[in-house]
Amino acid sequence: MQTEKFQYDNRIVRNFAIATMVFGIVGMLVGLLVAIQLYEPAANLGNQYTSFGRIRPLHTNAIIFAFVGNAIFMGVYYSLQRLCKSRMYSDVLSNIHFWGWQLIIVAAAITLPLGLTTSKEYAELEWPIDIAITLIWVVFGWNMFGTIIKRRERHMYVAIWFYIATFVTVAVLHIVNSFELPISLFKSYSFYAGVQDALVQWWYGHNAVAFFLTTPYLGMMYYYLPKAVDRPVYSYKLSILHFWTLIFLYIWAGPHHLLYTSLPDWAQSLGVAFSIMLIAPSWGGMINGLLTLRGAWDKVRDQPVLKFFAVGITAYGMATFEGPMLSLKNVNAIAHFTDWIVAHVHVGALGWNGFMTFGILYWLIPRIYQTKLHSTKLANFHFWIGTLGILFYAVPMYWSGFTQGLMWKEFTEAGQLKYEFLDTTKQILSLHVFRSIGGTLYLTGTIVMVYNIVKTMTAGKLVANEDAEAPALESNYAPTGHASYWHKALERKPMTFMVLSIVVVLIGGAVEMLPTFLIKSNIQTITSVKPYTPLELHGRDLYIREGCVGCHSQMIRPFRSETERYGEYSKAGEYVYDHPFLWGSKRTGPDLMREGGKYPNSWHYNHMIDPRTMSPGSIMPAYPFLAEQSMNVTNIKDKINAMRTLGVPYEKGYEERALQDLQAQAKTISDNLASEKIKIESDKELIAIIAYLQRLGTDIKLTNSAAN
Amino acid sequence: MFNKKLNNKMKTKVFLASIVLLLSNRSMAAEAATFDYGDFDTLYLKVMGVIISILILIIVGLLYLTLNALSRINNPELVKADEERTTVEKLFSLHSLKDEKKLLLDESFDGIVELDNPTPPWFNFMFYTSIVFAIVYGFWYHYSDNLGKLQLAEYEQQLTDAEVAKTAYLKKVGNSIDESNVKLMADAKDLTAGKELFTAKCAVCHREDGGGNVGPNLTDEYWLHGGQVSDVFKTIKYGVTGKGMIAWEKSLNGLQMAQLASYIKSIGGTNPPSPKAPQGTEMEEKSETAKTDSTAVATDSLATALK
Repeated sequence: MQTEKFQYDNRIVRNFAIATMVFGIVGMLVGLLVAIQLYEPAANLGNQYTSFGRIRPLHTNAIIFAFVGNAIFMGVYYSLQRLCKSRMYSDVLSNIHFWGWQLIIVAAAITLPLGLTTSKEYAELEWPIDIAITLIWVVFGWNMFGTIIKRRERHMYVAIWFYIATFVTVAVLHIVNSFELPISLFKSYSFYAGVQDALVQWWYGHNAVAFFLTTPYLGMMYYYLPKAVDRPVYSYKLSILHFWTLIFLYIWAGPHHLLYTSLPDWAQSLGVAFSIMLIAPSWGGMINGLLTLRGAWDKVRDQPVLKFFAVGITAYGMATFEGPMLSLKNVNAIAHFTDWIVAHVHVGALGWNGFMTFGILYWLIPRIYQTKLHSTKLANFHFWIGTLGILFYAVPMYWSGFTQGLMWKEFTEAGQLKYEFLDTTKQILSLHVFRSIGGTLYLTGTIVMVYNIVKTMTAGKLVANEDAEAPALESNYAPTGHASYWHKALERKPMTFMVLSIVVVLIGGAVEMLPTFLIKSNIQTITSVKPYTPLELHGRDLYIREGCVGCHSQMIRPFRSETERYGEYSKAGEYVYDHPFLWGSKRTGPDLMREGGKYPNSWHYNHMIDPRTMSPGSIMPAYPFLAEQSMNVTNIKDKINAMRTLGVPYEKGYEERALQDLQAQAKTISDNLASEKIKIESDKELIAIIAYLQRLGTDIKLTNSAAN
Repeated sequence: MFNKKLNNKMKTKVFLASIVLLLSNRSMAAEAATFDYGDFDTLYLKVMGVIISILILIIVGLLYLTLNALSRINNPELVKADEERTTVEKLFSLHSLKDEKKLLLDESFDGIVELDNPTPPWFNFMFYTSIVFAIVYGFWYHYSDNLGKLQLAEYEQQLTDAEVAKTAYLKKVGNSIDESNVKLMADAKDLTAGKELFTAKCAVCHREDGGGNVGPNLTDEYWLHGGQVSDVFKTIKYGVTGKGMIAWEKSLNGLQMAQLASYIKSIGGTNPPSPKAPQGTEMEEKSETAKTDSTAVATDSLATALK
């Protein structure tokens, strides 16, 4: 048997590591800023580019795709080469992947503050960037499969299974959810509307958590944990069981983000049932991880790397138990739209993704720089301050979510709502202060880590190409012993494995989505629901641009506490022209589903210029710039045409009259404001926003009053 | 051993110190902030701060102790053969570390080896239970209407229950005020209450002095929706859909709305500076004197009940 010599590419790993640290700091800093904005409106910094609605998606995207994304690539590029006993398939592809991904991040960092967004959570980036993501993701997959195919290891280790599942599923999710019709370089409308858009979006959103934040990290856990602790992995059979059940069951659980909404009951129930069944498969990963530490807990005490892993895995276990609990209807009724959900995702992001990433960085950097970690003491400090940070973040947020969720539902004995929305906001502000302290602690730890790693890097020297050798695989192979186990056959066939995992993943999505698209009765039409006027449509696009959906839902759930507060509960048929849907997932402010006609135009004008004049104590950012900026209506024709293509019934030739209608409607609003002594030209953006807000939910209100 | 303990103590002190530091920072932040914390402000904040800090300290302490305790599990002297496993090991169906070699699989990946442990029985039990739960859940909500209620049925039930409870309550506390029986109140107590409500709920749109801003002037003789106390009461209660007047019936009770309407009537003719131009039709002020009658007594009992 001929031994072949080759070299591992460590430079690409190092590059991704640096990107991870840089974007980790950036993402957390933006996170801290948005956290402060939630109790101090002045922190919006008085300009549109840093107002909450625009930079909240910057925070989430920076953490998910820049920090965690780069960390995944770092972890995968290091471990995949060693598990395949092969250099990455192509250095060119590696570099295209690296620089392409960083360019995408930069594009996101520029476009999101500019308000160029699709408004779909964790998929906010506009269509040209979506295409770039697809291309770079293919480059990643190509490079990965190239490496796997030319491997010198007979079987694919469990880490690689998770990497494969990550690659194929993220590709499917991203492509399906990004179906959109461009109307200009940086503006598009979602292909789906209303309920369907919501279902696709949360199928995506939930599984972005599953296949971007979970499966790649489980794969990395299976490599870095046994390496760092030098113990055998607890159970190979458990790996098989929890891998296949996890990827099969996860994909079904998306609708638990839409409980009590206008989504058909059967889809909601499927989401709940599959979420409950997910507990064991998720815990399979935690159990296999923690039991791998068994017999080495003394090392956990001494080595910061293992401490990070142990707490990270525990946080994973907690979050994946909490998730199914949150999807129970009665729990969800309180927790949804509150800070409870924010606490939940941060236990996952700070605990699982953050701590696993830190552990891997501490373990990997000294190895590729052939030196020792600069300071174990600082790493230990990082661990404790990070842990404190997570707790100072999570505990107040749980408290806040619980408090507000219950206050929203509280009635007096005489049957009236006990609190106005603003009362509940004021009640939790101090908890938001605590949260930002937790965030500061966590960020401090990260900065200390970066210092520690940079010191380590400067003390050592990067082994850019690490020598290795292994015999090539022989072509005639007959499995014996353990290798004849049934699953081992799959581990020898990467392409079969990939196809099988796609099939397993597609089942759940297909069963839930196809009926919603094909069976009419799932979304009943309401004749009084009409398409938006051109001005309202323009206002809606501004609502999207400003990220209003980040704080305001448009989904009144059928609870007495909500119909009393906001009006008639939402019907599926009311959303049929909503490309994209704007249901929202968090109520930092009140629901706006039936905002239309609730206040006069002048109230909205004053409220947008300075929310605190109309709602003293409000934490909403001020939008004076909307009264100064003129509407850009040059593409109103394209918008009408695009909407018609998507199935909105504007009559033939309407696009020609659209501009005229828009200006006429704007004139009525500015005239109305003038009669209230408010001077504003009719071409200002604020006019369009007012038009949209005054339309919200009125299609049904009007029918009701007509019936009366 | 002694050194280790000392070391632990030091660490604990560092934690305590840092928490105290954090809390002092926190109160500084609160002072600097300009927003209104509502009625809960300082005391609530302090109590909450202490409780949260204690909670977090306990969690961190437990974590620290766990890490310490776990490190002892690995003591070679404590490693026993399968027959002599600890209760915990038996409970979790774990093999003995001593017998681990028998379970090693004969393949390694970059030095990583795997054990041929079966999936733990309790894990399987948890998995099967969750599957059974999921199936029962589906049946519960979708098989029969007599079991779990789907969301709209649940909503109807909520409304019915609330109506029953509300009726029972109103019956218990006696008469309730509505537009058919509302009387102008002249009692200073009621007017003060009305004024407070006005400042809290109405002033943003109608101005503190009632002179009108987003909403119309309430101090002149012109009324858009009628100027009798019952009209004002009705406007407050049901709002004016489409024109921006909120319906307050969901958040104010009859007494409060009566106090509010009476207060609004009481500021008529106060001529505040730079008022909003008149809107609606002029109404001749009829003498509407408050009479102390049986309703007023009922009002008082309602007020007491609502407290």
